[in-house]
Amino acid sequence: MAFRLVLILVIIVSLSGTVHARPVSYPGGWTFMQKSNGSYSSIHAHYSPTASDSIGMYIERNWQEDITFTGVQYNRLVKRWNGRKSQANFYVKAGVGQAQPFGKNGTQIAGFTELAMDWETRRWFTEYRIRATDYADNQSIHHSGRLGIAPYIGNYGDLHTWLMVQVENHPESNKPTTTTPLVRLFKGVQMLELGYTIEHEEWLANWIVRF
Amino acid sequence: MKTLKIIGAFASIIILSQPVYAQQNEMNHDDHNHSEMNHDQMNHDGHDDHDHPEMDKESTSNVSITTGGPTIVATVNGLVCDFCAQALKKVFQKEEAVKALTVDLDAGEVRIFLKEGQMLSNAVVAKLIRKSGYSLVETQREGGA
Repeated sequence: MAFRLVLILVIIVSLSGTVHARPVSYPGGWTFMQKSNGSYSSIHAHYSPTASDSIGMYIERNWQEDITFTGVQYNRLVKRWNGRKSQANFYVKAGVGQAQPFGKNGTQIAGFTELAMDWETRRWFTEYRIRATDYADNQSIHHSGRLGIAPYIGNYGDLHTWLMVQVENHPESNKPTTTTPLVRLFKGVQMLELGYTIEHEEWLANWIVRF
Repeated sequence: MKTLKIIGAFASIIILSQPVYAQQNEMNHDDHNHSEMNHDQMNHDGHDDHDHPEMDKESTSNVSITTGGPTIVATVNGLVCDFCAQALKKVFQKEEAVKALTVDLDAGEVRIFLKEGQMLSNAVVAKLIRKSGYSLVETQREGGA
């Protein structure tokens, strides 16, 4: 497990190029994402051969379901609507790999699918996701939505700030609906998100860099 | 205790956004245009022995970009963030004919500076913008592009 993680990081660091927080990057772009919250921690590294597709490795340690998932993830930008001052996207994502329960030997085939859609302007951001997972003997569907506003609109190259609220629904959880206020900082090729999930009393920290 | 944690979380979020907002106000150039500066009306004490090349609105560091070859100005839909500009720059700067590229997110415009003697057809411009993930509205050409 540790060897796989180091190998992925070495591959990413050895590649040169330049870096933003979407599931698909520009043609030839690489993206590295690290996410951590009260439910899971994950890393995701992907390559975008076109502006519509990306493929990469995804590793997740899920605290709620007590499993570690390791697999390949494919993302597809199904449709983009480019407005004069806005943009909307519809993505389909799929992952397949293996799931290993904490503290146990042996793995099982596992996977997930997700639909995601967003609409944004330079001031407003909205997003909705629905994700179905099948991790060994655990199957679940959960929903997530975000609403964000930029308190100021920066120029290209400035530090951009977004204030957001994320609401999630995990039906199997003892607290199914959670609310996470968060701040997103975005400059150049890096993005950082810091938030706090009120119901779980847990911090959220996400970091994304593009190459 | 829980209430204190919630208050602390919101306070942290508000505090983190403030310094950046102040910085942005100091860097706003939207209310003036550097390209209309007249040297005769300015105090140039100590500057009488030399002249400055033509200045444009973006910054003096772009002087070498604006002089030389022709320019294509493309109006593009979908430009909502820095990533959009990054994607366009990455795709266009692979083209042999392209010297440099700047993106104006406010105006939704992309300026493509070509090398001297080089050409880029509207069809190729549209294809590259589409390849980047955006939509071309129209193009205008300057400097014999």
